[in-house]
Amino acid sequence: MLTRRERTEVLVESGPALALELAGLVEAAAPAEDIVPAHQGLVMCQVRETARNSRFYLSEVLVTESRVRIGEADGLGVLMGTDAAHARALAVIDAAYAMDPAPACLAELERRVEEARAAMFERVAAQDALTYVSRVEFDEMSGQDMSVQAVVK
Amino acid sequence: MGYVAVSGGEQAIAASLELLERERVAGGRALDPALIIEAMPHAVEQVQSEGSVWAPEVAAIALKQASGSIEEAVFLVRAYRSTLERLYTSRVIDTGEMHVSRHISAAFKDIEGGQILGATRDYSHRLINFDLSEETDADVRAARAVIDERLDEAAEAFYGVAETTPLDCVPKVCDYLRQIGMIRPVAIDDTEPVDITKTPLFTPAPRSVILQALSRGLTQAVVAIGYAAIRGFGISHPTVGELRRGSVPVTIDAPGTDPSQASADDAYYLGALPVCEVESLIANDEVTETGEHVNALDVGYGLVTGSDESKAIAMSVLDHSLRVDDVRYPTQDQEFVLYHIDGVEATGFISHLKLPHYVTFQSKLDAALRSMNHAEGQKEDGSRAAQL
Repeated sequence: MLTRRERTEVLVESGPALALELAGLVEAAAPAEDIVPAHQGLVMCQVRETARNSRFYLSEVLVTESRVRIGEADGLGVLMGTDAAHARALAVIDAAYAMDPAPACLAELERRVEEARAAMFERVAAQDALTYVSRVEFDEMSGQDMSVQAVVK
Repeated sequence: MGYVAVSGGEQAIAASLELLERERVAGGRALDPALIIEAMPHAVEQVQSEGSVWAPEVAAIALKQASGSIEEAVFLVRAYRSTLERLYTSRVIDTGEMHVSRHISAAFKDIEGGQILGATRDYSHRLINFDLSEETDADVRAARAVIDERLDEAAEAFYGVAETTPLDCVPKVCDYLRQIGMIRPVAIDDTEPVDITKTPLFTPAPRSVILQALSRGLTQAVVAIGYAAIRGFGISHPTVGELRRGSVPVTIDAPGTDPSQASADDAYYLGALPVCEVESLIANDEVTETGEHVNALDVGYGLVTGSDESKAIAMSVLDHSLRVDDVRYPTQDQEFVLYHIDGVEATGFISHLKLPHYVTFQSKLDAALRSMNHAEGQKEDGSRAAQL
């Protein structure tokens, strides 16, 4: 099973359509109660800089957050941006993964998220391929290797 | 001079605002904020960087409302930001996990993963393309199709022959220099950062304050002071060891978990934040604990949201300058740099000068007139005495 970090990345990066469809599957069997309706807020991003290995606050990001409950299970949906429906769908799916016993649709959710993850990797690889076209190739002119690896050696 | 009651001021102000709004709508055409994001991404990025909040839709609306004034749009975004609740602080972002779209070094010809130029204007001719004045939506779509086809063909040819490193784990140039001891290893410093959005700026400032202030500083001010530091009003002359542009994942821990115990696998992913990071190398004479002088490289650090490379490089220069904190050079004086690079502070103060200063100015004028009359009186007395 995917970790929550992996699952939420797929559900955010794949756009709202997938999350809304999967949340629909969950709610067809067990409707979710809105605990905190979708609303906007901020998340402060802290970064570790690499000169002194210290931490600092880079910037805030605008997010939309939603909290729902299905039975005894709470679900949280947060994503960058202002898409309230997407945030709620994420919360419903999160609650489905927290339900005990697990809902019948969980296997289907997992399969669809895995499928979307593979598609996400394909999209990223296609974009990376375009980026790599701009890589500079160096030919050795005088036999002197000026690569960082050679200098380190 | 006494205080004067103002009559009709409210009406005049209302009319002034009407005139301003009339200027905005005078063209009779509405601009879709989504189009601003697509067509003017760098302007939107600058508003977000200086506004200190990443919110493209909000920044685009602010630019629209401000009729394209970056200064005004940043003010609007900062004001909106102050109305929102801070829900979470992210897990510590490791820029080593950046998914890079551009990766270059001015220090080494060949770096791991290769010099990846990405999308850059560095090699473009700065000639205005007047054909763009006639460009239609159909032209834009056709141009994209042609470019996509050319890049796809090139990508296919490239992938058959070249080794590639995944672009989400590109090694850092400085790590190699640490291996050979040219950059001193530094232990992890988990001092809790100070947040200048909640704490007034003070000097001497801790490192977290310096970096946050520079990162959200007025872009042109950071670049100008960074330039001054190199040109002769400071001691920094860096080499860009590495410049990388891309996006970093923003994640939060599950609510209620202890951050020191929380697992990265259990975190929530919120999205990808575009950033530009620079590690500048500056030759340094370090004194060891035994008093021995050794040559080493110091690293100046720059990180900004968005893709402004000039700002990130200038930030790295100023990071190094301000660590010296030697007030003989203004670029090394924390108070001089940090108090003057905030866009809202600087433009707010300059802007206030045009607001009524009737009483203070009258006072200055009275004093100047009295002084002038006194001097003239003395001159007249002097010439009368000379005649006698």
